[in-house]
Amino acid sequence: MNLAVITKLVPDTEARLSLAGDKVDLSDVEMVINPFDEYGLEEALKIKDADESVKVYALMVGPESARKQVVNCLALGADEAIVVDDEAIDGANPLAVAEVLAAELKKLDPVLVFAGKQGVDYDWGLTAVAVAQKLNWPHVGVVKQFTPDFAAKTFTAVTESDEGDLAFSGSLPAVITAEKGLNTPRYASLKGIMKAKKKPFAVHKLADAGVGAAAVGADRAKVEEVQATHPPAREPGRIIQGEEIADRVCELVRVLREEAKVL
Amino acid sequence: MAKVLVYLEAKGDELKKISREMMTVARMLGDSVSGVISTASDVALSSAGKLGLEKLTNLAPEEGKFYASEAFAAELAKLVEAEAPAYVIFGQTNLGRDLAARLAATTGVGYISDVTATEEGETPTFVKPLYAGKIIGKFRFKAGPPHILTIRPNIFSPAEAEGAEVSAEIVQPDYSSARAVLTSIAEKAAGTIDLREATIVISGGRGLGEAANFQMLFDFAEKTGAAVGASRAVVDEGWIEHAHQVGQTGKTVNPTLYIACGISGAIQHLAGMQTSKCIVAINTNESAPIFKVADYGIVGDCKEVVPLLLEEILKSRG
Repeated sequence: MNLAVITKLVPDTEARLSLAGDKVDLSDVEMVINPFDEYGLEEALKIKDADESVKVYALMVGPESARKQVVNCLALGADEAIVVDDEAIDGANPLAVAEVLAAELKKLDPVLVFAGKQGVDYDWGLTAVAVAQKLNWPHVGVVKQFTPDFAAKTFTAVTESDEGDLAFSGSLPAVITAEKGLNTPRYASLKGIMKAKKKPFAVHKLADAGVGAAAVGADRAKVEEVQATHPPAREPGRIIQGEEIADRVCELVRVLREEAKVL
Repeated sequence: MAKVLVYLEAKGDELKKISREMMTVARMLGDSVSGVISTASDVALSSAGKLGLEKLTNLAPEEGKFYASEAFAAELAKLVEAEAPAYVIFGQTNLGRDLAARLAATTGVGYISDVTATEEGETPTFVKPLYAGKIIGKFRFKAGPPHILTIRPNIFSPAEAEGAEVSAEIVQPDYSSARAVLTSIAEKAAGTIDLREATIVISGGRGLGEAANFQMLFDFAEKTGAAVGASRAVVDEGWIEHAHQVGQTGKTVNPTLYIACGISGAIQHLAGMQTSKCIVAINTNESAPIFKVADYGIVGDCKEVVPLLLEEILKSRG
């Protein structure tokens, strides 16, 4: 039984981002595996923990330079990694990325595909859903509890919403996107790190994936980014002074009412 | 005459506020608005019918079966085909974003999510925060129509009812085609305020000292009508559930008043709350970065300040 985890390289959430002209400049930014994808990977590894015959594939459309981060997925317990690096792929277009991922996934024949609920970069939340659509599979997004039943080929999944918890029932195969809280991702062990060096790591071109360049090129994009800016900086505020804490709190409530008018 | 299709949402008998916010955006972008909703409530259906729609379609749920992305996206794709709207608008809610993505994938048309502003022009531009708000992106559609948008809750002003009530056309979604179906909704306790829609948010971080001190914030929230937020550090420590996390791997909030208690102000946290109208920071460390974005700060211990603040606020409200 095969499982696959879709990952993406994104800037570290602790990173400050600078601009080059009207685009974000990522040249000096520490890149990491998308944090939400780590919950997807952990969910796959939990299934493998219970059944050693399970094979977990880590799959990425991204630069070959992501090797370091993807090898960490192997150190955590994934069995094989595939990175599709081809300049013909318009990496900014989730539908193009999904086309490549779906083609690779068809070859891996997994029963479950996990991904993060969204990339913490552009927050589209589209790629994994589009993968499900292209595979003609169901999906459930933003999952915080997941229970598969491989014998019955079914699953239940719970997502959180403003209405309350939503419980889904579905059939396998399926795409599941992870919310933080789905599980607690493990750390790589020393043994895992040593073993990772010997695990298969493939770097594919579009031809290996079996996708034509015309299907995933920049001219296929339906949306263009016009400009990126920093949000307006907030005006500096002030520290409320006062002898006693109670005086400061009194003054705070006064300014919140009279100046800021928010109470 | 530009047509717009909106996917309205209801919670029980009530039309969600986001539905009225979508109507505001729809009227900015077009002059003929049709609505789609999925509700078992006649009351919610009637409220939707009074929004000033040309037409309203109800994807009627079955017993024990609610949302189903595949079946709903298929019905929406049919409506898009038949009515050729310029825009299809959803809320950036859990189900709104899910359906918008499935429809975008089904139809292959352009999709811009989590829109916070629109700018008119020959080709309108849509503003969308990136990297959880560290960067503001402007986007344009290159192809189409139709164009798919989701709009962020609590940004656009809600539209009032207008015009005559239209009655809904009932469509039975083909649940047999759906292989993942929402089968039950565990409704939140009455009075629970959603973080993303709250007017006041009071958030706690490590400076609270220990998990048990969150109770102080819950008391404050209950008595003032606020929602409780948290920093990533304390969520990772297990002091409080992830549903409360504000910031890049949590929620982006936009309240009138944001009170940060014992939160130092890591950049991933600031990204998620910096559009709040007024920010108050309470921290013992006067050089904490949170004071750089706060309108007002108190250097002091939250355990002392918060109960006093609650008392003063209640007193001022009379």
